Amino acid sequence: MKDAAGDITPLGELLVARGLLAHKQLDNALELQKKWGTRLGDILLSKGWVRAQDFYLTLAIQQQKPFINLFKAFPDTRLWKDEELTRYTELLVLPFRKMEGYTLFAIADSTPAVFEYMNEQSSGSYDYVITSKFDIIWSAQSKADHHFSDLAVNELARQQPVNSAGQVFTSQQLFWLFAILSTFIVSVTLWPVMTLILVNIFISIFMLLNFGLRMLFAWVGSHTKIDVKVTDEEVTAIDDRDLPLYTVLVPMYKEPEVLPIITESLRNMDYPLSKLDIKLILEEDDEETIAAAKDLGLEGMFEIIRVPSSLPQTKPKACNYALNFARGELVTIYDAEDKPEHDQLKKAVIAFRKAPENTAVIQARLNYFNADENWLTRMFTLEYSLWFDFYLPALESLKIPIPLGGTSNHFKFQILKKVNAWDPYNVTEDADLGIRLRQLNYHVGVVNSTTYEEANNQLGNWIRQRSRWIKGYMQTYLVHMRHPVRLYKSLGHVGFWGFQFFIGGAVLSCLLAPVLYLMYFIWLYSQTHLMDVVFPPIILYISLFSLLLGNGLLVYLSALSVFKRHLYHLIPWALTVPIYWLMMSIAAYKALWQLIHKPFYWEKTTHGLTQFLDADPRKKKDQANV
Amino acid sequence: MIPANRQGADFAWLLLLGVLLAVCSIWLISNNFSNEVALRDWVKVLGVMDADQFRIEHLGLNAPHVPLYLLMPFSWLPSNSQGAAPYLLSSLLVALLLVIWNYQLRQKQLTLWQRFLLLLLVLLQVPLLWAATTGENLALTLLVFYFVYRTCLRMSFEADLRSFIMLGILLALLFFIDAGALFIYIALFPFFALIAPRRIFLASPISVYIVIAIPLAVAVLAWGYLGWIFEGTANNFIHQPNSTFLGGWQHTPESPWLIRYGGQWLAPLGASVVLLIVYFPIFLLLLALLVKHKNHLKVSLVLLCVPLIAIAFASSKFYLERPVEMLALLMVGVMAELSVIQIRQGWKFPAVVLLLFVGGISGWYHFLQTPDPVARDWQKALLGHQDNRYEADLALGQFLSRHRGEMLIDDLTAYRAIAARGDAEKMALPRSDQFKLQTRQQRPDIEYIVVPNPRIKKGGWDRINKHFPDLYHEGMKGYRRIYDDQGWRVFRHVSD
Repeated sequence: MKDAAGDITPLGELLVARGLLAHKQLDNALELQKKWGTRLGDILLSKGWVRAQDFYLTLAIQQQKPFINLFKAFPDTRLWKDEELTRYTELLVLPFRKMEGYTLFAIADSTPAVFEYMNEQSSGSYDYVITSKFDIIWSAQSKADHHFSDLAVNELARQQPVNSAGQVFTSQQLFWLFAILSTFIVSVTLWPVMTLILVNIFISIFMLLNFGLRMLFAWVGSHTKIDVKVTDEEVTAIDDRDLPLYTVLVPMYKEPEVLPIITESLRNMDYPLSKLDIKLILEEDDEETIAAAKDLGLEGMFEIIRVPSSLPQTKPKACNYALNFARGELVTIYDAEDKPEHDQLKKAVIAFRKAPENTAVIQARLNYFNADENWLTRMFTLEYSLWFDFYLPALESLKIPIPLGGTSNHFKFQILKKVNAWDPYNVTEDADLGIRLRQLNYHVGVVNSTTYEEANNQLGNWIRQRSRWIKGYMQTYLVHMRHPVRLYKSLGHVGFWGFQFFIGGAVLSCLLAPVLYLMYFIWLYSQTHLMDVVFPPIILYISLFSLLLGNGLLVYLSALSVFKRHLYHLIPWALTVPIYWLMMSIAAYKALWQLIHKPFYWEKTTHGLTQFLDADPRKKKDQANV
Repeated sequence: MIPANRQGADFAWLLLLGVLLAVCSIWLISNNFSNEVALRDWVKVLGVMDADQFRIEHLGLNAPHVPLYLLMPFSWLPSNSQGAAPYLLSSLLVALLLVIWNYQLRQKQLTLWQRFLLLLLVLLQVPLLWAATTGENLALTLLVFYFVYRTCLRMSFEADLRSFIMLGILLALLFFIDAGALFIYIALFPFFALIAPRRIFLASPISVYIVIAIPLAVAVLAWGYLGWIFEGTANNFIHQPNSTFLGGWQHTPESPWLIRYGGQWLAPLGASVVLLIVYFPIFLLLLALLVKHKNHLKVSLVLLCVPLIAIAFASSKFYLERPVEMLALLMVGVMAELSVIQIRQGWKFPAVVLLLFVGGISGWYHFLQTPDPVARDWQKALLGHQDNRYEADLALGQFLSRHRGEMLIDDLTAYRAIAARGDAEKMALPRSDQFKLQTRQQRPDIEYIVVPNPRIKKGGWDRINKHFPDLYHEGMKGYRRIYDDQGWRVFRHVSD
C-alpha cells in the first residue's frame, strides 16, 4: 500500500491505521528498533503487541500481495526439493504453485535474501504471496517429517559412523574385552596372589591419580582469571545492535506444568527479543504439552516444533530435528525447568568474541534453584557447584575435552551443523559432542553465567537420571575409544589422559567404590589377615592415602564449591557426600546393566516435582549486584 | 621477562649463598656438632630404609612424617656416615626459601644488588642460620609458614577462593611437618575474623573457619586413624610421653627458657615482645610504611602477633625449649612483608638494610648470651670448638660398621652409633618383627646384641636391657662379649 506521495506506507503506521496497534506501542517499538537494530515487525511479534495473523495480513496489504493460509491452501509439494528444505525454513519461503511462466512462492519475510533466493530458484520468473512463518514451518514439517526425522536420526551415523553410539561395542572392542577377561581368569587361576596384587596396584594407582587430578582441577579452577571470563561491565558495554540472532531450543516431554516457567525466563532475558528464535520442541504424541503451549498464546518469537514419533525417542534426536528449523547464528539449549541468568546470552556472545576463532561451543554453569529442598537436592547442588564452577573451567584451561552439560551450551550454528550435531543414540549426547568437537580441533569454552535448574528431589527419579548419565558416559567412552591411537593423536597427551580420567575414570571410580568399601568393612570388622597378602606395604600406603586424604580432599572440595557460590549453609552437608557417592555407585551398576540390555533407552527424568518452583536464586544475585 | 644474563647472575648469587650455607653446615658437623633431634630422625629413616621390608609405620606416629620422607632420598647417597643428611636437608630448604624469596623480590623490581644485600642480611640473622644448620624440621616449617603468611596477605587483598584453599592445605601440611604447629593454629585461628575478607566473614563466620579447618581436621583424624590401624590406639600421638606432639617438657630441666617461663602465659608473651624488638626492629619500619594501607596494616599486625602468642602458649605448656625457633617465624614474616611492600626507592631501602643489620647484631648479641645447651653447642661448633662428648657412640658406630651381621640394637639409645655407622642394615630395631620375635624368647638367636650400661641414664631406657636386664653385666649363655668400651658392650653369638 502506498501513501498519497506514492511511497509504501510503513508497516507500523498501517497497523495503527488498521487499529491493530496503539500509537504508544508503535513509539516504543520504534525506540526499541533504534536500540536493537532489528526490523519493526520482529519487534512487534516478539513483544506480542500484534497477533501474528494480523501482522502477516497487514504485511500482505502493505506489499499488495494476497495473504494465503497454508493450512487451507496447501502448497504444491511437488515443487519442493528435499535438499532445499532447510533453506525454506531458514528463509521462511516455500514454492507454492507453478503458474504459467513463473513460480509462485509463499513468503513470511520480505528480505533481500528471500528475493534473491526466489530469483535463483525460479530463474527470475517468480511472484509471491504472503503467509505467516508458522504456516511455513507447519507446512514444511507436514511434508518433510520423514526427511527431517531421517536427518535427525541417521545423519551422524551416515557421515561419521565411527562417532555414532548406534553400535555399543565394536567387534574389536569385544575382542579386547574377551582377551582381557580371559587373561584375567587364566591368570587368577594360575597365579592368584600375583594377579590380585597387580589388580590392586592398578586400582590403587588409578584412585590416587584420580584424586590428584581432581585436586588439580579444583586448584586450577579456583583461579580468579579463569573463573570470571566475562565481567558485568562488558555486558553493560555491549551494543544490542551488534548481537546476533539466537536460536533457543527447549526440548520438552510431558511437562506442561513447567512450560510457563521457561517461557517467562526467556521473555525476561537481557537480549533483544526480536533476535530470539525460540523453538519449543514437543513430541508429536505429547498432546498435553502441545495444548498447554498453544493455550499460553505465546509471542511471535516462540515456535512450536512437533517431533514425529520415531526411534530412538531421545532428546538429542528431538534437538537434531528442531535444528532443521533454526535460524540463529548461535544456538543454545535450555531444559523446560531452567532459569538462566538474565544476561547469559549476552555473556555467551562476549565469550565467543573473546575466545579463539575455532571455538564451537561455550558452556554456561548449571546449578539448582531448589538446593534447600532436601538432602538429595543439597548433595546435587554440592556436586554441580564443584563440577561447573571448578572442574569445567579447569578442563578448558588445561585443554582437556569438556563433557558438555545437558543444557545451557551455546553453539555456533554452522559448526554444530557441520559436525552433524548430537548423536541421537547417545544418552549423554552433550558430553559426547563436547569430546567430538575437541577431537575435530574445535575449542570448547565455559562462561561464568549460571542456569538454575530443578534438582531431583526423589530417590527413584534421581537413580533413573543418574543411571542415564553414567550410561551415557559409558557410551561416550566406548565410542571415542574405538580408535585409541587416533584419539591420542587428536587430543594430545594431556587431552587424552584427561579424557581417560575424567570420563572413563568417573565411571570406573563409581563402579569400584562399593567393592573397595566392602573390602574395607570386611577387613575392619573381621580383622582378617586374608587380605594382607594382596596389600603389600606400598599398596597399603597408597590405599590408605586415598582412603583418608583422597576422600577427605573430595569432601573438602565439595565444601569449597558451595563456599564459592556463597551457599554457606550447605558447607556442613559436604560431610555427608560419601553417602551420595555410594548412591552414584548404585546408579552406575544400573547403568552398566542397561548398557548391555537397553543401551539407547532414555530414562526420563520427571520434572516439576519440586515445591520450590517459584524459587529464583537469580533475584538474590541481582540484589547482591545492586 | 628477565634477560638470560640477569637470571644467570641471580643463579650465581643464590648458588653462592647455598654454598655458604653448606660450608657452614659442614663446618658445624666437622666440629662434631650433633643435634639429638636431627640424628634421631635420621636414624629412624635409616631403620626404615635399610629394613628387609619397607614399612613406613616403623617411623612411628609420635612425630610428623614429612621431614622424614624428605630425608629418605638421602639414604641412597653415599658417604653420609656422619649423619649429615638432616643438616644438608635443612640447608637445602632454607636455600629454597631464599630462591623463592629472591624470585618474589625480583617481581618487585629490586635490583640484583639490592636483592643480594637483602638475602645476605637475612641469611646472617640468627633464626634463619639456626634453622638452616641445626638439621631439625624448623627449616621446612619456615618454608611453609612463609607461604601461610603470604596467603593470609593475599586473602585479605584479593578475597579469592584460592587463598582459602591454600591456607587450608598449608595448615594441614604444617601438621605433618611440625608437631608444634598446634600452637600456631591456636594463635592464628581467632584472628581469621580479621584476616578473612570482611564481606565473607560477616556473611558466614563459621563457614570461613570450616573451610580453612577442614583439611587440618582431616589431617588430624587421618593421623589418629593411622595410629589406630598400626598401633592399636588412635590417640597415642597425644598420650605417649615421647611424642613430639606433646612437646619438650622432658627437657625442662635443661631449658633455661622453660625454667624461667614454663607454665606462664603473660611473662613469655612480654619477653617475646622484647625479643621481637631485639631481633626484628625492622618490623617497626614495616608497620610504619603500612600506615596508609589500613587493611594490610591490620593483617600484618595480626600476623605479627601470631608467633608471639604461639610462643606464649607453647611456653605455658612447657613445649618451647628455645624461643629462637618460633622467632624464626617472624623472620619469614619479615621476608614475606618485604616481598609485598614497595621498598626499592628513596630512603626505604637503606632504612630496611640498616634495620636488618641492627637486628642482626642485636639478635646475635642476645643469642650469644643465651645459656641454652643446644644453642651453646651450636655456638661452640660455629666458633670451631670440637665437641668430644659423643666419642663412645662414634667408636661404637665405627665398630658396628665393621661387623655387619644381624644385630639386636635399640635406636632410642644407640642412635648416635647408628648414625656414625651410616646405615641400619641387618639391624633388628624395636619396631621390627625380628626385634619382637627375639625379645620374646628367653635367649635370642641373633648374631650380635648391642647394649649400653643399664646403670647410666641412657642404659635405663634401652629396650634390650629391659628384656634382658643382666645381659650387660653378666652376659648370656651362647654369647661372647666382643666389644666393651665407654659404656657400650657388644655380644656375639657363639655355638653352645
